[in-house]
Amino acid sequence: MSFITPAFLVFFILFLLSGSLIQKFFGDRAFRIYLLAADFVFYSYTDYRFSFLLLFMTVSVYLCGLKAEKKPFFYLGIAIPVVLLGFFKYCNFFLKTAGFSTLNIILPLGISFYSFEAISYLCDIRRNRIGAEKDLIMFASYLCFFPNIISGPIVRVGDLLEQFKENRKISLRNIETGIQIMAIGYFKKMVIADRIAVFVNDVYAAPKAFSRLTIAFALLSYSLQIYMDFSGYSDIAIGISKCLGYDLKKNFDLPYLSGSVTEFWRRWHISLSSWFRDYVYIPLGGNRRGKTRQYLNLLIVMGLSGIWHGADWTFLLWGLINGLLMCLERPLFSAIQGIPAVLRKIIVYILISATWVFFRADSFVQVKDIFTALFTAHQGIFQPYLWSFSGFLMSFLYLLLIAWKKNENRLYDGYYLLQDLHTAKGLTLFCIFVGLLICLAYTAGNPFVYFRF
Amino acid sequence: MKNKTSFCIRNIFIALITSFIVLNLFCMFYYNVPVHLDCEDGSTDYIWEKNKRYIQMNEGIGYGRTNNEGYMETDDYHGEKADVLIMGSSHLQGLSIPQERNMSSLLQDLLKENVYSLAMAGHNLKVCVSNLNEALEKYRPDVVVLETNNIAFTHREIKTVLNDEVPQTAAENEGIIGLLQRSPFLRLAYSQYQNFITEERESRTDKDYADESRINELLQLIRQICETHDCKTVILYHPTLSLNDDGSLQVNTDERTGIWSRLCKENGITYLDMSEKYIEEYEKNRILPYGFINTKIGNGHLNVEGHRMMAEELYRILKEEH
Repeated sequence: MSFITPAFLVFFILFLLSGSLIQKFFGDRAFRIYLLAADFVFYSYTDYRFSFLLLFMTVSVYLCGLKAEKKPFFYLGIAIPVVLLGFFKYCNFFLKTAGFSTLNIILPLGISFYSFEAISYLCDIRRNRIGAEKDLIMFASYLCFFPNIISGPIVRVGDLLEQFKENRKISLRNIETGIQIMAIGYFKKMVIADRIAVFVNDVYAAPKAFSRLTIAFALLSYSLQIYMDFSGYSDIAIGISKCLGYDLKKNFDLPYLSGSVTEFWRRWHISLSSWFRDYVYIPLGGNRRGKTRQYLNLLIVMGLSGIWHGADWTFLLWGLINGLLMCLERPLFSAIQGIPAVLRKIIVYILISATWVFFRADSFVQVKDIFTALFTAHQGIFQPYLWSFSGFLMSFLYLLLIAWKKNENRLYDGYYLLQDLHTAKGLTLFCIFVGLLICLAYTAGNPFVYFRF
Repeated sequence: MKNKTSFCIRNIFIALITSFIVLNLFCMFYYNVPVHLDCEDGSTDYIWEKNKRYIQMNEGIGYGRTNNEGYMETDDYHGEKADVLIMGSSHLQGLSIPQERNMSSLLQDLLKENVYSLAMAGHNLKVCVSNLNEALEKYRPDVVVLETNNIAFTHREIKTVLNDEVPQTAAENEGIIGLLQRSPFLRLAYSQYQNFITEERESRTDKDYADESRINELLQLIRQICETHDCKTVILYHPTLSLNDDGSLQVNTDERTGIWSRLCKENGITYLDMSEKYIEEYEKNRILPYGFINTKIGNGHLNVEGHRMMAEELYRILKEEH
């Protein structure tokens, strides 16, 4: 079920109302079971078969977790999500690469996300960071938690399970905060990302038809689109969790204000970057084994990150290019620091926008077409797309606003400028914001970019 | 507790009223179109509110004022004879462009004659033909232009026209619905809601397309009505288009265009297909007739360039043939 469908809005409102009643009259255990049932309803809405896969992974990882101190169980537990992910996501990729005909496999929604959560759970037990969860319902609530199951953020067990155990409540105060974060997420997704997607999709569908200026503008626009799309999704997930009483950590930290590619990756999709840091980069030796090994580790991590996003060579190359940029940056660190901060940010934005071409394109042929059309003189359609300008302008104004309000105690983690809905002023501003969201939203429908992963 | 509740209710009330006012003010500059009214003379299914300013930035940027008859036409009508009468759909209505740049205004400037447009949203060729007699009776034009972007009609569709059974579009401007339509915010919100709940557009499953004889019957009906009013007819067909991977333009001209062209000729009707003009303009200037700087390229309604292309083509053909 997608967050931007009428079905989800109905589901969420009904769940919130019934959940709070169950919590009140039947207690926390009953609510936990009810939440788990809702998780499965949410997950199986698109295709009920996926829920069996989720159930299998949940139970098997739970059982392996109980015995994870023993190596065979630990490796078995790791193998289950890895094999399932490998089969569903990469089987056709390998078959295609080897020249065989592909199988008719449907990628289960969110498998990349909950597989990584399962792996981190087992690794954390093995490293004695956490104890194995004895309660299956509790563990299943963590792994199947509907707000983040489809597109993250990838939540560590220590972050969420503890909150479950605190028996947090659905309260008016939490709902007030949650719906405001959700509204910000919906605005980012439906007003900015989806509108810009219309233009970007046009240009990528026929790059040779467009002028160089238009293509360059589309590349810059895509950077904004994917940020608004994915961070919008994260915001909605964070907002939904907040309504239920749980706090998910921010997944983005204004990444386009980064002064280097390395910094960008610290601030972009934080839950994934930190996952790769903790479970791949550091175990490989991190930066403790000399420069050459550090660069190799960076390339391995970014390559894996690329292939995690999509089973295609374009994604792998996208990851490796980012890794290469990070490697190149390190010896040039002091020289880069000499560049004025604003200029550095602009250069990073342009570099990142160029690398997104590999991410967005369907094939290397399309990558070639985009860059050829960008760098060769030809007559093409000129499209100064208004929503891209509006998106940049709105982002800039929002940055100014949060800079202005940063000393007030109203900025929630994640730069959400929240209103006090108990006051007439706060409520009015919120109503206006929701009204603008209704007026300006792109309602013809564009799926979330990260649904593919 | 009681005080707290009443304070809360007061806040909600203030917030709803204030935000409603603010959002309506915003929509007055973003999406503020008049309400539909019944058309008493039957020239069209409905008209817009008369002498109303409108602005629309949802698709393109359009603004203007409806005339004294409730059409999106630059000139008022005072009973004079129209030299050229335009009948068509939302494409020619031009809600998405500045009014003075719509096709009828441009054609009037080129011809230096009285061009009057009855183009209305939803008025496809079937609706226009069903209203044709009334329109010609009232405006007494020398030439009537019937615009269409679709020539793939089914047997059943043509039958409804021949039997005068084309369903009328209701104005729905009375009671609570009429009152709610006065709020530009509510109108836009309703339109957004309709788009939101319609996940997939209905695809046409009825493949019982009309054959030549059926199309001929429709054209004979048009000819008959026009002859009664001593008026010449132009059917203006403009196909949809798309861009190919290699950057070339794909004009999706219906395969029936040849049949229409021949049958129109046999019935003394001028048939104007915009396909070649579209290709020519694209190859020369990389200009597309559809789409706007805030929507999908080459898709949706006619933009100012599309209106210009049509006006130029119509001017050429009217000069040549009429």
